Amino acid sequence: MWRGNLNANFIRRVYQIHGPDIKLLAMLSPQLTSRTWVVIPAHNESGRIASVLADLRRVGIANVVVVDDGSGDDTARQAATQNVWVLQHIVNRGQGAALQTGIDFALSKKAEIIVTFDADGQHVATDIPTLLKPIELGNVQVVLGSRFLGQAIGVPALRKFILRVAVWGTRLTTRLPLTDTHNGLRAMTAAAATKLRLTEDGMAHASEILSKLSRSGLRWQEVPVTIRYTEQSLDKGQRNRAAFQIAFRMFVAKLVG
Amino acid sequence: MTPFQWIVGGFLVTALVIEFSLQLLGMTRRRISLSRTMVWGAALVLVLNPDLLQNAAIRMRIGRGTDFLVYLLALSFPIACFYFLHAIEQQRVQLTRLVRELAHRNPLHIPQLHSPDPRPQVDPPGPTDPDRLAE
Repeated sequence: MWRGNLNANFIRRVYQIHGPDIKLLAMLSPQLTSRTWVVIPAHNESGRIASVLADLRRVGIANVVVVDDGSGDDTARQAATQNVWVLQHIVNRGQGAALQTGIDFALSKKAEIIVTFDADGQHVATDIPTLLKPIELGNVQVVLGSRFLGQAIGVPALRKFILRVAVWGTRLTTRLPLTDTHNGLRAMTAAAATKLRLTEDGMAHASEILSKLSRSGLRWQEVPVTIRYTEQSLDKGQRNRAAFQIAFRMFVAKLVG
Repeated sequence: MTPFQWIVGGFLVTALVIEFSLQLLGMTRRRISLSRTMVWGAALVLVLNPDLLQNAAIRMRIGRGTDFLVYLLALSFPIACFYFLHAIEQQRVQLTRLVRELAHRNPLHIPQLHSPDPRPQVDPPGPTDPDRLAE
């Protein structure tokens, strides 16, 4: 087990260097990080992608694939300078399509654990060890981040209400006792990623994952994570009306899927 | 024949002539052209013989020919919608597959000798370390 690879000296030295803020870093063994791939779908994120990647490096994540989803800015170039793999969609296909492109690539590189991570800086890289722990212990195959178990910083009241309604709707349709939905921070084993293959190109992919998860028989767990809403992320992120678009897409998918 | 039948019938005959010409010149796909010819032809027959529709409606106990036409439209509308929705979905899937394939063909990776890893180098834990944590 990965815990067995730790030693007191290693932990002590990591603590000395990084301080107590990232105490979970000590739980990520090099063996674990080498088997883990982080997939980041990015669209017009040239201003933030470098800092997001730097945060991941601080946690010890070595394998990162950024999927530039038809950005009009130099997101791909910015990411490429950070020693990560960059795939480029020649036209914008949506976050779901970009995620699946990155997941396919990670699987082709023999990834054993795949983490999905947003490019807009909403997620906290130090949550990744928390996310990986249940998988590494062999308890579950899919781990979902939950902002309502953890922290949602700066979330507007209307957004919070919509998310609560979405959680209620997802619970009703999937029968999964979730506390959060549409949280981009997830981890899954390679086998689970193959089973939960995304066909939804846009934001409806998050509902699709949960829908497939409920039918797959895969073991899953939610863990508390932090989501930071900033002015920029709210500006660029999903609009509230996206909830209706997602509901419509799911309806269409049921009709013609 | 009424003026309406002359005017609309004339348009439909013209459409049929154009369709046949396109078929003869090989400028259209046969299957699509045949379906269009059938639509123009059926419309021409109904315009020239409005009683046909009326008789069909009476036989089916619908009442009026107009109602029969409305029912037909109500039935064909969702069928057409599903057909187009399915076609659009197919195109979406194919386009995404193409974009994904192109993305996988040209992955960009600039390996750096001096990785920008801001994490200070720490010796990884080894099995021979004397102070290994006891589980």
